[in-house]
Amino acid sequence: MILVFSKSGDPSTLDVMRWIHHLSPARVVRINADEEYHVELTFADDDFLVRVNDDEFRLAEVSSAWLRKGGFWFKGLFPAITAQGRPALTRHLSQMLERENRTLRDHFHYVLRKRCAVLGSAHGSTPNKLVVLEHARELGLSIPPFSVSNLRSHAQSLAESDRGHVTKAMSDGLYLFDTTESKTGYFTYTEALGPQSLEDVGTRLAPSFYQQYVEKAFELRIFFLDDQFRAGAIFSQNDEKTKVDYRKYNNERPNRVIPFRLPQEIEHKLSLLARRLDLNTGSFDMIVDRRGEYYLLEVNPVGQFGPLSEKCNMAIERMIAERLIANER
Amino acid sequence: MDAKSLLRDCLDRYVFLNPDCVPVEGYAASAVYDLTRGLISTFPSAYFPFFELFRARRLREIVDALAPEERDDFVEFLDFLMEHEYVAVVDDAASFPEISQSWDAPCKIHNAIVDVRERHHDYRKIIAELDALGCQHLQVRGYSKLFGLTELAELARLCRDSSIQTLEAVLAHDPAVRDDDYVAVVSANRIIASLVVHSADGDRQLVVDYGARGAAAGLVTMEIQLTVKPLESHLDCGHIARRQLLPPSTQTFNELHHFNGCLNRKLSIDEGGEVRNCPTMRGSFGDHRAVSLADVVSREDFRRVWRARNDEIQVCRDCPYRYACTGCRALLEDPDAGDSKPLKCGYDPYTDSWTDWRARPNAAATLTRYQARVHLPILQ
Ligand code: SF4
Repeated sequence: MILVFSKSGDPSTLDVMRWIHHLSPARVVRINADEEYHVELTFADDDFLVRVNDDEFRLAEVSSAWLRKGGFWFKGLFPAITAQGRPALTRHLSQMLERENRTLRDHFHYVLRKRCAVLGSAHGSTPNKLVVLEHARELGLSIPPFSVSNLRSHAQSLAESDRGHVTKAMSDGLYLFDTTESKTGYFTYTEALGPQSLEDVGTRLAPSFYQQYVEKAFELRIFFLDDQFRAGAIFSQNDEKTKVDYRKYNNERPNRVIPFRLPQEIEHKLSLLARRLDLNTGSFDMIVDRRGEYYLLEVNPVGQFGPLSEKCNMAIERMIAERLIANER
Repeated sequence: MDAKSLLRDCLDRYVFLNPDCVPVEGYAASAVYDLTRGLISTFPSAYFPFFELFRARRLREIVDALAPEERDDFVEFLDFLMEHEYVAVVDDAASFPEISQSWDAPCKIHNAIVDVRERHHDYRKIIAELDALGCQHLQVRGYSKLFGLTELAELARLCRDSSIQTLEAVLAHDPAVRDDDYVAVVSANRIIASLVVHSADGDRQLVVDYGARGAAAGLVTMEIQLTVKPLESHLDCGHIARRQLLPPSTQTFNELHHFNGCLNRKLSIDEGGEVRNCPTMRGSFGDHRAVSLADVVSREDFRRVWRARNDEIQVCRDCPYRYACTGCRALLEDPDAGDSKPLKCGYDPYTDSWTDWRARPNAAATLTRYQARVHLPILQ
């Protein structure tokens, strides 16, 4: 049996599941982090028995698990407690329940990893962007120089230097679709740092991440699964709209994404980096400058590989499906 | 950058055709398929050999070999390629391999058609078996009022939680059904991706916004088309005009190199309940109540037409649109020749012109012949 942890509406999950069904008779149970289920679970003696709505399974039956998206998938196990008229106690109790939940979650992941082949990173966490950059540097991968500061004067000096800089979130950035009320989307992108960025800013601001802007020849989106790499080059420099961050799509003339052959040496270093970060799948974002120098920007353990797979005909969904059914008995 | 500056500054580099821009050679006109942007543009086939040269030679060598009178044409061709952003200039293209041409899909049947006129079929059995085959898209065509809005809602319900992702419907107009009723059923069933109502009392479009407001509504609306035109029979299908061409994508472009764009992984139930490749194709594989669809799909004689590639069809093999054209294997220009081009295609690759296929000599007679069902194409 194959366990798939995801979120509802993720197109890649659907595609991979289609491939699993097409290639194998394996039973698949999909659990979405954003859905409410009727959950029954018992952990005992190195095994667990879980019932999610009508699907019941034991760990012993699970051959592979894919942690595609989400953190912990059994919501609402701990009912909220309110102590009437005692806000401090209420707060304390809810924090305690949260710790209970986390302990259970970690144990669940531990047992899962011990007993079956798990694809994806534990509790959907993104590795710390700054730590990733440090690791990359240690492994001999170039990174655009970065700094973090809460001083206006620091930002000012970068903005005035003759090298360009960009600023972006240190963690995940905002990607929110408010569908309930206004049906508005909010996104943060990588923005160029210029004098206008500092208007109305006091001498101290929130600690902000700055990175030197690299004049790129093209950008690379690199999917990896174990030691297999699939890379696509994205040409976006021609287009002012997408110059800094290619997620700002230009709909009339979408950027081209074409297959790219990674140099062996880069592939090797990325493999080492993935191992250090304890990731067996994910995507790397890199850029290549005019002189052919490769720079690592970031790693995303749960990135969207759908467009890369489709445009470059890389059958990534099929690769993942094959990896997941490989342990079926 | 334009061709002039290219010829001035980049003579020692290679003109590199982006791998997602693929040239397709035709007889009079050839085409570039832009797989990222979903567009096709054509140019005179005389330029086609340049693509071979671009791969092998630096710009300088190509230019030096041109006769003086060819130079202007070459500049014009380069401008055409650059204007569409088909090409880049590189020192070395070795890092950019071609896009793989392989094609496969995670399903045994990709799409299905169900025709209904005078009697209902066993929809429950059909949907259950299509689900087991991984079918993704279903089209239902009602020629009479028998298959109406209630039946459509019921079919949508059956499709829920199956492999079917989209349901397209063509229904006969029923004066007893109000416009709001159509909108209500479509709103309640997101799986209904398109609805056309034929034989209506007037042409109009009904907008379904699924309750979204503002800018988001623009992204999610669907239009129900009502048309006075009748849909008389399955012989109304198979028209090929420029607007019927598929916007090229890596998937369809590759699929059409290996398979027939219309029939590959398709299954149909005709109005009589018979299982066929398409309702218009001769050759029944039995009544759908009596046979298992999975058994039919595994039959070699059912799958043979899937491989009727445009590359192997007369005239089509010389057509620059052959990897964007689903073609038709049911209604042929020459019903006696298995590899004849489709009857209802108006393109002539030898003159690069589109005309109305009906105007061609014999077109009417051939259609009458099909109508009489005296001689249907044999591809079995
Ligand atoms: S039917 Fe044949 S000739 Fe006509 S457009 Fe399609 S491929 Fe070209």
